[in-house]
Amino acid sequence: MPRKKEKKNENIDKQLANLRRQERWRRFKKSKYLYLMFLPVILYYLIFCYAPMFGIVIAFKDYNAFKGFAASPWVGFKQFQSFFSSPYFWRLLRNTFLISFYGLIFGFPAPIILALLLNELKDGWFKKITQTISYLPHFVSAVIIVGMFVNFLSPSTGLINNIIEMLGGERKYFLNDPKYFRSLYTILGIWTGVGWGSIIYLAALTNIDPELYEACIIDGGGRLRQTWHITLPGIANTIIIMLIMRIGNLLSVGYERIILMYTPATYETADVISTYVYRRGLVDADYSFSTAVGLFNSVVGFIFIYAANAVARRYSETSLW
Amino acid sequence: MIKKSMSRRVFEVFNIIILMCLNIVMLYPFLYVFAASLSSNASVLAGRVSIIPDGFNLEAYKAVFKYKQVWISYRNTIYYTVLGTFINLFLTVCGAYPLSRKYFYGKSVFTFFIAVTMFFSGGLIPTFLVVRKLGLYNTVWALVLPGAISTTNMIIMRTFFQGIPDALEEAAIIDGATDFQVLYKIILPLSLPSIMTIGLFYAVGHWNSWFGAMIYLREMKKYPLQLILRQIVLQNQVNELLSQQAGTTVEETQSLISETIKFAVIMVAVIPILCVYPFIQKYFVKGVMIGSIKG
Amino acid sequence: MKKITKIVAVFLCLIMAFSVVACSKTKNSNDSKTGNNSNNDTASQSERKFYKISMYSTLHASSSLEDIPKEGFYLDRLYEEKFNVKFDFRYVPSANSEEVFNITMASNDIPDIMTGNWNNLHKYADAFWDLNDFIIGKYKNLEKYFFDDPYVYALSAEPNGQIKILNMLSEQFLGDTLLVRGDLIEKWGIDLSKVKTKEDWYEVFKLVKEKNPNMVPYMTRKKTEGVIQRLCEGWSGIKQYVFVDEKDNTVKYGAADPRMKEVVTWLRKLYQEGLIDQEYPTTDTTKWQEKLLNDGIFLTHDNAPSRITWAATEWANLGVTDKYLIAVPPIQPDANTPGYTTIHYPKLRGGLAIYVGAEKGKVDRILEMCDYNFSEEGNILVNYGIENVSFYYGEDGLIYDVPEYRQAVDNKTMPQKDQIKGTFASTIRLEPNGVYTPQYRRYQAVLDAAKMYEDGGLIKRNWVEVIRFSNDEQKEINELNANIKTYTDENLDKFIMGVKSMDEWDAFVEGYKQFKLDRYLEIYNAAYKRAMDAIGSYVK
Repeated sequence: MPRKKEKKNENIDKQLANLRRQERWRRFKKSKYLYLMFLPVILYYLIFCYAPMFGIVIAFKDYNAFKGFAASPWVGFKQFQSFFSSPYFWRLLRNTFLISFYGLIFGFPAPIILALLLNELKDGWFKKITQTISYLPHFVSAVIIVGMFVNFLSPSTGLINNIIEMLGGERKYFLNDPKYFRSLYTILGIWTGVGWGSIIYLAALTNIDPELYEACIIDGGGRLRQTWHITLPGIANTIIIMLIMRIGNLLSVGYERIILMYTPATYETADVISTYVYRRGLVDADYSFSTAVGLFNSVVGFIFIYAANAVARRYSETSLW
Repeated sequence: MIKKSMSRRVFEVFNIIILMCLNIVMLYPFLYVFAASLSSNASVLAGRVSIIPDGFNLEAYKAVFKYKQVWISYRNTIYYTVLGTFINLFLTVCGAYPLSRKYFYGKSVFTFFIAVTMFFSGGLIPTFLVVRKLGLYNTVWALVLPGAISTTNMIIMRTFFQGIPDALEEAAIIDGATDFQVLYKIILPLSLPSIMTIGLFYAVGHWNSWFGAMIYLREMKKYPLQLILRQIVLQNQVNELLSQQAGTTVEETQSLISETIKFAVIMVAVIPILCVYPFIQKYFVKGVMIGSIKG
Repeated sequence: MKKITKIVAVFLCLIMAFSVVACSKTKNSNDSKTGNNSNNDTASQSERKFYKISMYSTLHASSSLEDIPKEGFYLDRLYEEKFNVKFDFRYVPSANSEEVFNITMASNDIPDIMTGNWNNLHKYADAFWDLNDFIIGKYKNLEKYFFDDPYVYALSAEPNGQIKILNMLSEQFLGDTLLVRGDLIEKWGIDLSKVKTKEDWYEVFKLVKEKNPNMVPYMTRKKTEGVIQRLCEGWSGIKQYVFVDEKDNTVKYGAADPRMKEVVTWLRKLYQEGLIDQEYPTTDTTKWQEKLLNDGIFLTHDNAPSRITWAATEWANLGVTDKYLIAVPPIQPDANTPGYTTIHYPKLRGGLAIYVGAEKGKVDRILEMCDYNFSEEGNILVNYGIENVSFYYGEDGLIYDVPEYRQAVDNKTMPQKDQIKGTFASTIRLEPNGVYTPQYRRYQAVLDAAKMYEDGGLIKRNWVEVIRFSNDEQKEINELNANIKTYTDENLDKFIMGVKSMDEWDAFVEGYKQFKLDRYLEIYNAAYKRAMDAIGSYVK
C-alpha cells in the first residue's frame, strides 16, 4: 500500500518539474526578441563596466605608478588596515552616515513635497515659471552657491545673522560650530537639489489616470483624501525605487561641497570619509588607499541596498530586482 | 460645502505664498551671477553688487565672445549633447523595456548584475585604459560611450514602463501586435513624459560635463564649454587648496581673469538649457497621454 | 535562489580570472616601455639631426580665453628653427591636472617631456632619464645652476643622487611679507621704528580698533596658516607643522612644541578682543579682497610685489589713489633680535623631466635647449623678450618694458607679452627676482620691501624641503600625517577662538601620543640627518 503512494508522489513531483521546465522554456521563447533588443545593453555593461573592474585589485596592492597594475606588489589588506586603524575611523564613518541620514530624512521627501505642491497649482504661467526657477540653483556651479551660502551665514555681514539680531537674538558664527554643520549642509543640499529632484516626481504624476480623481471627487473626497489615496499610491513605485537607490548611496557623501563649507573646527561632525581621503591625497596621492576606501564604501553600500531591496520585496510590489 | 471651499482656498493661497518664497530663494544666486556679469570688475571686487548691476557694462560678454575658442566650444557642446542624448535614450530604452516585461527570462539576474555596477567600479585609470584599447581616445565616442547608460536612469525608466497598465498591452497583443509594435505604438507614446525627463537628465549631464573631455580629448578645438568654464572659475580655488598643503606656498601667477568674465561665462553656459525646458514642460500636463491613448 | 548563487559565483570567478589576465597583459606592455635606446645613438653628432619632440604642458586659465596661434607661439617657433626640432605640444587644462597627469603616465603614450611640480614628477621617477651624466661637463649653464649650490642640488636630486627633474629656478628672494596701510600709519601717528615686539603690535591693534571700529586690525586670506605662521613665526621661531628648529638642528612639530602655547595664548587674546578677523577660518581670497578694497584691513600679509601692484591698480580703479600697502618686518621676539620668515629658496615652481622612451639624441637636444634658457642670452629672451621690441635698456642700464607689450590686450585678461612667449621657454628658466623686473620696479614700496627683507637677513631657508624619504618611509609618513594634521588643525582653531579653554592644552599635547607623533618625528629626523650629511659631504 505505502509503495503505491510513494510512486504516486514521485509521479506528481516529476510532472510538476516538467511543467516548471516547460513554463521556463515558454518564457524563454517568448523573450527571444527582447534578447535582441537587450543585446547592446549587455555589451555596454560588459565592456565599460565589467572590463575595467580589474582595477579593483589595486586595493590589495601597493600601487607603484610606473610599474602599473601588474607589477605592483601585493599587500593584502594593508590598505584597509591603514584606514580602519586611523583614530578617526569611527568618527568618519559616523559623520558620513549621519550626514547621509539627515539627507535621507529631510532631503528625500523635499522634492516629493515640492512636486505635490506644484501639482496643486492651476496650470498657467505661475506654475511654469515656478518650476523653471526651482531648478536654477542646480545649474549655478557649486563653488558660487556655497560661496553665497557662506556669505549669508557670516557673523558680521550675513543676512541670517542680521535677521537674528533684528529679532533680538545674538549673532553666531554658524559655520564654525560643529553642532550646526549637518543641518546647514542638508539645507544647502535641499536648496540646490529640490527643484531638480522634483522633476522625476512630476513626470511620475502624469501617469496617474485622471479618471481616478474624478471618481474620488464623486465619492466626496477632498484634496487631502485624493492625495492620500490616489496621488501617493500613484507615484509609490517611483518613490520606492528612488528610496532604495538613495539608501544604497548612504556612504557616498561627496567631498566637493563639504570642502567648500567646512572649517577645521567643525571636523568632528563635518569630516567624512571622502574629505579625509581627499586631504590625504593632497600631499601625495595614494591610489591604492583611495581605491581601498572606495571598495569599502561600495561593499557597505551594496549591503545596504541589498537589505533595502529585500525589505521592499517583502512589503511592496516594487523592488529593484 | 462652503467650509471645504474656504479651507481649499486658504490652502491655495498658502501654497502660492510658499512657492513665492521658494522662487525668491532659488532665484537669488542666479540673479547675482547675472548682475555680476553685467557689472564693472571693480564693483564686483569691492562687493557692491547684489542683484542689481553696479557700473553696468557689457565688457565681460564682449571679452568672452571675442575669443573664437568659446564659439568653438559652444558648438562642440551642442554636438556632444545631441549625439550623446540620442545614444543614451536609445540604449536606455533598449535596456528598460525588456527589464520591464514580466515574462523576460533572466530578468532578476540581469537587474542584479546591472545594479552591481552601480557600486563596484574599477576606477578612473582602468576605464581609461579600456577606452584607449578600443581606440576611442581623442574622439567624440570617448565622451559618449563610456557613460552611455546611467543605471539609475534606466531603472527609473523601467519603473515608468512597469507603471503602464497591463490592460492596454494585453489589448494590443490580442490584436496581434509583436513586442516591437507594443513598444512602438503603446509604451513609448504613453511614456513620453518619462522619456522626456530622462532625456533631459542625460542632456543636462552632457551639457555640464567636463571631466570626460579633460581626460579623453587631446586637442583644444574639441573641448566643450564647461571645461573652459571650469578652468576660469576654479583657478582661484585651486590656488587656495594647493597652498594649504603643509610647507608649500604656491605663488599665484597674476591671476587677473576678471571676476566679471567668470560670471559671464557661467551665464553663457546656463542660458541655453533654460531655454530648452519650456519645450519639455508641455509634456508634463497630467494624464494627457493616458487619456488620449484610451480613447 | 540556488541557481542565482551559482551564476553569481561563476561570474565572480570569471571576473577574478579576467583581472589576473588583464594585469599580466599590462605587464608585458610596461616591459616594452623601458626598452633600450642604445641602438638610436647617432653616430654623426656634427650635423644637427632633426627631432620631433612631444611635450606635456598645462594651460592656465587665461589661455582658455586666448587663441593659441595656429603656428604656435613665437618663442616655440624660434627654438624650432634654432635647434632643428619640431614641437608637438599636448596642452592640458590646469584645473584637475593631477588626474590627467596620472592618466598620461598610466597610458602607453607618454610624451618625451613631462612637466609638472616636483612631487608629481618624483612619483614616477622611474620613468625618467638620469641626467647627471648628460649635464656634467657638457652643459655649463645647467651645471652651474643645478650642481654648484649644494642646497639647490639637494632640492632637485632624487634619493639616488641623480637629477631627473629640472626645475624652474627663481632668484626671487622676497615672498610673503607683512603689509600695512602706510597712509593710516601717518594719519594716526604711529612710529613704526618703535613697533617691534608682539606687545607693541598689540597696542597698535588696539589703537586701530579705537580709531576705526569697522576696520579689522589683522586679516589674512590664508586662514589658520595666515594667522599662526605669518603673524607669529617671526617672534616665536616655530611653525604650525614640521619645521627645523635652528637652536638644536632637529625637526620638530610646531603644534606639540612648548612655544606653541604662548603663540596660541596671544592669538586667543587678540581674537577675543576682536583684533583679528573673527571669521578667519572661512575668509577666502574674495572676501579678503573685498574688505581690503573697502578700507577694512589695517595689517595683512601677502606676496609683496604682486600684492602691492594689485592693490595699487585696484584702488586706482576705484578712484582712490592715496592709499598704499607698505611692508613691515616680521614681528620680533624682543627689542633686539630681528624676527624672520621662511620662504622657499630658491622657489621651486615645477619643471620638466624627460621620458626614458626618448632616445639619447633627443635628451641631448632637449638639454641643449634648457641650457640655452639658462644662458645670459636665453635668459633675457625668455624673461623679457626681444630688445627694442618688447623691452629696452634705459639710461641707468636697467630693463624697461615697451609699454604696449606689458599692457593687457584688452585690459580684462592677463597681461600678455603678446607674441613673445613660448610654451617650452616658460616651463624652465631662471626667473629673475620679481622685485627688479620692470613691472614691479615702478612701485617704490616693493623695492623698499625687498631691501628690508633681503638685505636685512630676515629670510631663512626652509630646510624641511630638502628632506627625501624612501618609498616605505613616505607611505608611513602619509598615513601618520593624515591623522596628525587633522588633529592639529581641529584643535588649534578651537583654542584660538576660545571654544576650548587653555586648561585643556596639556591634554591636547599629550594626545599626540596616540597619533604616534614620536614615530613621525623619528622618521623625519632620520631623513633630515641623511639629507644634511649628504649636503655636507657634497662634491659635485
